Amino acid sequence: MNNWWRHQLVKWRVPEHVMSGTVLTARDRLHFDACLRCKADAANYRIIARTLRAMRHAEEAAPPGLVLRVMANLSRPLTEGRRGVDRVAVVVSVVVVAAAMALLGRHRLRPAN
Amino acid sequence: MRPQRVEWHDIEALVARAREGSNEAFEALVEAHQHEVFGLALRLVVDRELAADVSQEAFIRAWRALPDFRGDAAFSTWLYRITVNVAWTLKKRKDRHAAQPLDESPELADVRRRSDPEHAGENSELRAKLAAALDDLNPAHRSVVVLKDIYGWSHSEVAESLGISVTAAKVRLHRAHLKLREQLRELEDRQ
Repeated sequence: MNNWWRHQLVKWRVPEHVMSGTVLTARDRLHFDACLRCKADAANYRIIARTLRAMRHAEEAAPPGLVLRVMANLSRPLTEGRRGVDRVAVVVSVVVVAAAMALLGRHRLRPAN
Repeated sequence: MRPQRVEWHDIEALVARAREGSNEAFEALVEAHQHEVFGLALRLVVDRELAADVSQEAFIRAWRALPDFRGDAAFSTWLYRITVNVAWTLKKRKDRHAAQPLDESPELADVRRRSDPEHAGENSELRAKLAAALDDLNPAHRSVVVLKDIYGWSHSEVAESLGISVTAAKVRLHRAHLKLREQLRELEDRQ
């Protein structure tokens, strides 16, 4: 592989080498150590990586009242959900009882042989 | 005013109490995590109003899912995963209804620029440039950078929470890095 191709390959691998810690092959390393452009590129990516990591601690303040909003909406869907489940349970129970009574009634009305 | 930082063992105790249905314990958990959850949501959706909705929805979903929380991961990690999923859902829903793409809204762009001077520091200029470049990435690229490079998630965690393969996550990250570098270069050239 000629120098130009090796440079393109290393240039392609530099971001992940710096940002994600992937290891360069021995040949790539050889090129990297001798190539000022690749080194400059790596230095830039190192700055980007460091700045991005620092952004984790640059906390954005949550809007005031978020906690209240969360707590106010917390019980509503759950309560409605439970109410819904309760309603379904009542309807199912009524249907089951009605069906059982109907079956029982038919059984009683049937003339004995 | 920010609340005092809650220690991890306090968090564990609060989670245990919240799992038993204690609203007070859950409120304390919301109090302790609201800024981080909002910060993550904001980085993902780049819209303060939507980020507030995402945060609220994420906490409500967390409350509902708390009985299933096994404690395999830290509570915060679990909460962030919920936040990422909610952010994706609400962002997609909003984008479907919006006539103008969210990322190109000048009003929103203005909002995010205004929030930048809060983070004054040695590298505040670079941070502001990078934040602007990050906000200009498309959502798919932005989310991998936010989760991997800012929040330090592994490739597999990123892949899992975005519902993509690890290889896809790596490819997306690589493209995002190139794009980020390119945008920074453009920003530098313009100045």
